Amino acid sequence: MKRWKISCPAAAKTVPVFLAAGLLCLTAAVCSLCLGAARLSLGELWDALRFGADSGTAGAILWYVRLPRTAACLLSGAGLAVSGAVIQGVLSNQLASPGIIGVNAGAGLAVTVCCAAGALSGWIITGASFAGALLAALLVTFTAQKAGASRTTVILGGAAVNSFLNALSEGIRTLFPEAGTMSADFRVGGFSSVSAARLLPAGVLILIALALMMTMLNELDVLALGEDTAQGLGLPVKRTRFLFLLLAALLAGASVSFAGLLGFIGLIVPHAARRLVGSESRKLLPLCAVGGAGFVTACDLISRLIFAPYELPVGILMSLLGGPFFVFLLWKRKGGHRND
Amino acid sequence: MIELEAVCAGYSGKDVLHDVSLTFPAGTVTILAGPNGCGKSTLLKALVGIVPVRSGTIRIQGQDAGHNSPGALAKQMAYLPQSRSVPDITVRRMVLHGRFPYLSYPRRYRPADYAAADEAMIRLGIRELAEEPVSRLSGGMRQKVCIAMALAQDTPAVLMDEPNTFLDISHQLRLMALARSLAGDGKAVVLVLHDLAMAMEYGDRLVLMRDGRIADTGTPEEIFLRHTVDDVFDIRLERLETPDGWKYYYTPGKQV
Repeated sequence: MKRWKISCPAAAKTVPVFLAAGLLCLTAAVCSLCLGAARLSLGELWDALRFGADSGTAGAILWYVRLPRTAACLLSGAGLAVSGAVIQGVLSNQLASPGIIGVNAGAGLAVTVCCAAGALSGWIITGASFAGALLAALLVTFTAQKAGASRTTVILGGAAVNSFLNALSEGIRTLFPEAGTMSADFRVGGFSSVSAARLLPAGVLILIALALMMTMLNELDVLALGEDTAQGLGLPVKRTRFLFLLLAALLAGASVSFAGLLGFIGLIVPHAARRLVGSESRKLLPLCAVGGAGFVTACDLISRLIFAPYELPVGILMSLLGGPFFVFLLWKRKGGHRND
Repeated sequence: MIELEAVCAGYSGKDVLHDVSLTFPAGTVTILAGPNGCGKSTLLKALVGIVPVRSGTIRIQGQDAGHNSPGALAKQMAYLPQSRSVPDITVRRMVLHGRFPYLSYPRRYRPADYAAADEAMIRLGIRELAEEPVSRLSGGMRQKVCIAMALAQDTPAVLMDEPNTFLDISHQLRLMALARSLAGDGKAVVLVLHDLAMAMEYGDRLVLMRDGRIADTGTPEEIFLRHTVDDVFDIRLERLETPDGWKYYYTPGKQV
């Protein structure tokens, strides 16, 4: 038999890639805790961690400001990146992401409605955000299935849903301008107003959804083999697809509830991760979680420091990176999938 | 053994299969043949639960399969569909997913699953491609990977929808030999084929379908003598006696 000689760089690079991503994440988190308007040395950081919020100025800064913010960056980065990878897998479309197909917009609309109605409890906002994200995801899936479920249809349907939901949010903002979270920080995504009270319920849900997702990695791979093959392997396809959309919406919705409409994380990170370790979910999803957490934390750190003492909402930096990246993806696909 | 009794099945309330009664015995290669759109693929999909059965009964090893979960069906029948996605995963991982029906807590493949996948790859002659990405293989090699995945499923019945697609003639003949070997292991092998000459030569039984119904069923010899193939396809099926047995060929019918 003819011997095929094909290199498989993705498999060979797995361990170094995970080590590098873990190191990036850890470094970004430590820098995020130490750097800012008031700098903490590693010794001060250690003391503040050991002795709590009442141990002086460093303790107060760490526990009331830096720690919630860093945790928010890590959680939203992991949540949105994994959500993007799962949505791309379930919809068989690598151009799909929670920001592009309207999942984030659904969550944003729900948060906007809550704020306009004066329902500002962390659990209510998180729950509503999840419901909005799920409804948007189901709407896109339903639209794509009715229209033939081609890759282009998913993106077009998602763009339409995204536009519609954003228009509704804008309308509510116009009618209820006094609502607190409708700041630029929420609309483009940012962490300057993150509080522990709002982060806690969303953080718990993100961790639960991530843990559940990590037990379903084989299911995601089998789903990617195609509907008929998956069913032939005993996977209840419709139920599993719904479950994945539910978890992806939970991750995106919970993230949006405290981080705002962060764009492109769900697109950039899964693509970069896929290039590094391939498409096997057991490698892809954990790398998305670690890489997404590190990337958002690093971007937030840059956005805090670049114009200090002024702060740039991190979503602006993300969109500046994500926009060109998306165009790059379109260029790379030029000539392919003409019949989609 | 798989038995169908008066099965009607189809999509969105419209039946494609009408009153189909058939048996797929263990240890035999059964070939499904018929014109495009006659319901061959739908029949396989109905067997594995992808297409809903509106009326009639499907029995596997004598038990009514109507209430079986997808997981239970996947332990009885391996199904290779006509069209498949090409994932960007390694050959080993893809073949390993043939063991998916046997996954239990903690949802990880066990050493026995890896051994079954290795055995399937060796049987298909693709063991040395184990670490290559499926997406970089040729169409024929991908087809072999899919067949290896079906073998790793280790089921009493194997259903393949046009498995010769993308395979060159040498690999087509090897696949037919593999089908005979699987039947020799006691499995019920069901293949959808368009190559009638190959179907007549390698099938133990032939099922001819037309417009969602069974037009004829029997051994290739019986089918040939009844001239049903000529009628269903509007061709003339001929044969020549050779030292290796009958060789079949066909010529255009009256309407062509």
